Amino acid sequence: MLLTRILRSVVVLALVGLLTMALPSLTTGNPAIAALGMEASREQIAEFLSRLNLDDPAPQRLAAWLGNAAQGDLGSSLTTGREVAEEIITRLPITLELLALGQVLALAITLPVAMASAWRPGSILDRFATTVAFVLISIPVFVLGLLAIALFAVMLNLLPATGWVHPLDDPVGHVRHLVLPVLTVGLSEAAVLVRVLRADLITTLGQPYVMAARSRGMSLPRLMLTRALRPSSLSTVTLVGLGFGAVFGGSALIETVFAVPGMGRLAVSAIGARDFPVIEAIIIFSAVAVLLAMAIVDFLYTRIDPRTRRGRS
Amino acid sequence: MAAVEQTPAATAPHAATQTYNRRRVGGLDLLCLTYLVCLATGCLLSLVLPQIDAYGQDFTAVLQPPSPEHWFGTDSNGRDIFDRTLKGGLSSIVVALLTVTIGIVVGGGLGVVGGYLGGVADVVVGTLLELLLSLPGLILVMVVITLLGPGYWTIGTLIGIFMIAPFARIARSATLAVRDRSFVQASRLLGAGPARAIVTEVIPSVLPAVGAYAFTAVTAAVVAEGSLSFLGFGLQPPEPSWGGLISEGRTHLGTAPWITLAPSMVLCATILSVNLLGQRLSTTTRQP
Amino acid sequence: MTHHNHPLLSVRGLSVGLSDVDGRSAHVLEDVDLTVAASESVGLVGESGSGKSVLARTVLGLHPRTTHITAQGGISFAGNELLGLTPRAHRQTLGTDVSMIFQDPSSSLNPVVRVGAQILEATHRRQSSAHQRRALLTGLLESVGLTDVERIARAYPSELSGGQRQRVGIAAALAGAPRLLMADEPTTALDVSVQRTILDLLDQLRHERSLAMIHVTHDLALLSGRSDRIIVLYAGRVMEDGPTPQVLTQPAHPYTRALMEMRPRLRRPQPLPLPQIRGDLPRLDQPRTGCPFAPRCALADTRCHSERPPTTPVPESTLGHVAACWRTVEAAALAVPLREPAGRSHP
Repeated sequence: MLLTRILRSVVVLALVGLLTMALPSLTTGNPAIAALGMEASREQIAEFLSRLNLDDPAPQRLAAWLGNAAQGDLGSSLTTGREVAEEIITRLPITLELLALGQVLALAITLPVAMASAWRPGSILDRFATTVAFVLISIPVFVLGLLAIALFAVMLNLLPATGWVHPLDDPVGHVRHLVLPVLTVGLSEAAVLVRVLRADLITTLGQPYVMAARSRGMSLPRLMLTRALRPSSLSTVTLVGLGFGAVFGGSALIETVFAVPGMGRLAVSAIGARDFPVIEAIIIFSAVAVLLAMAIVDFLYTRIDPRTRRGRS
Repeated sequence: MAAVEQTPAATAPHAATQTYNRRRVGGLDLLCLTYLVCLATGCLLSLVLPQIDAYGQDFTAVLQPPSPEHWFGTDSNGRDIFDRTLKGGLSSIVVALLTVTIGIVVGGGLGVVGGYLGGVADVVVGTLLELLLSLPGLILVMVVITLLGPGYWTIGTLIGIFMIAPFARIARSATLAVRDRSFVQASRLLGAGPARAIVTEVIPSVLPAVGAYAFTAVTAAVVAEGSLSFLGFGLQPPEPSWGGLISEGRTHLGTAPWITLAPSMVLCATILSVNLLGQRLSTTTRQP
Repeated sequence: MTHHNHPLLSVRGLSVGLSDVDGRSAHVLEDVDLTVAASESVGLVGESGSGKSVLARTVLGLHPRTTHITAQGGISFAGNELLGLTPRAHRQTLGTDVSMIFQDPSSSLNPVVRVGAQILEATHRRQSSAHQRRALLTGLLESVGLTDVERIARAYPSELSGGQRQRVGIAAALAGAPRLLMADEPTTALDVSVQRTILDLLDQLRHERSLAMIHVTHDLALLSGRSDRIIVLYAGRVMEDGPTPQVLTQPAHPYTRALMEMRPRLRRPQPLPLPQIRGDLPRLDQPRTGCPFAPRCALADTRCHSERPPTTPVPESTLGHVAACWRTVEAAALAVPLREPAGRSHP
């Protein structure tokens, strides 16, 4: 079971790698001119091509990339000259912090709201919560971010609109800059999670085993927390896991709106500049991150629901 | 009617999916429908009516707030935001339609074939879907758009490729549900080949599930197109698009918020309307 | 109606209507009388849809939270009136005095909670030490005939067999030291091979602990020798109520007779499909007149369709045997061929 899973992940990763390495060949015209600009000299172009071996076939490029990556060398950026590995190491924590806080906020909103909603489906509270969630789901994350800026930064002047400050330089400023992006991530994620967890909780509360527990005199609040929440949490866990799978570049929108120098910004600027070494690393690592996130989610399934343990070990 | 005793149990999952009143066409449904029809008409008219001018600059009327003359105000070049929003909607409409078509035809097709034939075909389809799911969609689409150059067709096709996986999943599970049902088996016994059985029996049974998902796919496509153009990977200026308009207005958020907020409202209202209609339709068709 | 003087549970003229969020409603129970004395065992018989499970749930105050209930009549347990209380007060009044064994042990046990913790659910209100709880758990598991108690207490439901699961379900029902046990088709979901052992276990436990019991089932013959009284429910109404031997040998209601005839005989291979009562259950969401069984009844005449039969004593039977049928006399007369060898049809 585990073996076929690993094997399949390797196949998928190999396909992702080949696809990634084939990207430069899609470029219309000479990739070197596209990257260096029309004024590039003949020597520059020749040097560019040999350095990046952009003309080589994809399998050969993938093998070379993997060989270098094994030694910790992911190449260096064509635009800034900085090493890709270094770039990732400085930016990854920024994105991780943003996403982690956003997901924590989303869960902090979701758990009480979904439980209160599922407590009495159709109640005023439930209608209110589901309506708000429905509206929030219809607001794209970048619009939500701009609305947050317009309200809290421009109109109320409470918080900085954009930017990022290193925590060691200015801890308070760091937190102040984080509030709006975390709020945006948290709210838009919570909108999805509330709907999913509420529906799963209602299904669980209708299960015979919940009625059985009630017949044994278990109070509903206790039942909700100790009996219903766990079997209802599988979809929620999946969504949170996939949220973390987006750590390489999936945060492009939120980081663009709030000018956060994380992985998402790196991806956007690298793509705009056709910075192939950076692009390749981001795509491959993000595929790894997604597969890793799925594996972690599957592991959590076995912790949550013992039925999924059988036949897997 | 032997199920009377199960009525309470059947109520629970019911309530989970139903928050809004259904069955009858309500005022909200009509409002959404009217809005979408007006929007689509306006967008199409922007192609032919000279009065809808998305490009005309007027430096005597820069950053004007909304007024009877300029319903959504004007931008820093004195262009009318309302006209630009209508013209920009075209990109969203074309991309959404293209995306959903690709999703239904390719994704639905792969799902039906994989589900119906099973075996090797199913494994190949499954691996393909896993590949699509583990790819960073937004990043990859941005890369390819940069390399090929933006355009309605490129953007729509690329987003459509990433819409294949969810459609295929839904079609596959719907196919598995009907594959072994008696009427499909019967048509097999009557000597119908797989192609014939798929066309006459499977596809009609799979379509409702796929159609219900199409609404979600439309909103996803509109969001994806908006995100791409917001990040600068959509249609290039001066060609308007919703995401582009929203992004352009960011520098004037303090002084002229309507540049960003007006197209934002139109975008959100569109997504909300499609979501609402989709939810109504899927809960109505589920009723016996 | 009963030979016992002090009823533990008394249900009087209970009518229950259910409606869901869509406003669809159904009269599930109508004018139901039921009494259970201390340590008495009552069989509650009917097809699915007869309202027998709703009756059990109404007594327990355990309806799904999405269902709206309207109930009239009275339910009292040990002298306390329950109907009209809030669900919470209802549950608090009952405490753990009434407990329930559910039909399908694989769905009535929480898949993600260890079995031991679920059994002790009924005791969580009591202040007791971990040691006491463990002793109680061991005692309960042993009393329902389980060995390897330590392992089973730590197991998840999916790690147990169907029979083991139902034994766990019974242990959980006993944990709160109930006075009345409701068993809702406790063996229907089990293998035929373990059905009898579970029924025997229930009987044994009932006598040991002098429990009153309501055994909800669709299988009349299963109650033979296991229950003191049988109540037959159809479309939410009591059709027949009487001592078990009389109901089984002298069924007064045509519906009771029909139930006995459609019971599959396990010894002999049965040609499929199983015999069924022709026709469908009446719609409960529409107003009805007359006897609910009339549309399916071979003996029905015009009065059966227009006038509701009152509950009357069955002629030539014991005291406490009653039926709600205009044609009771005819039905009782036709009961004779039932005891004759199979294969001969009555005139």
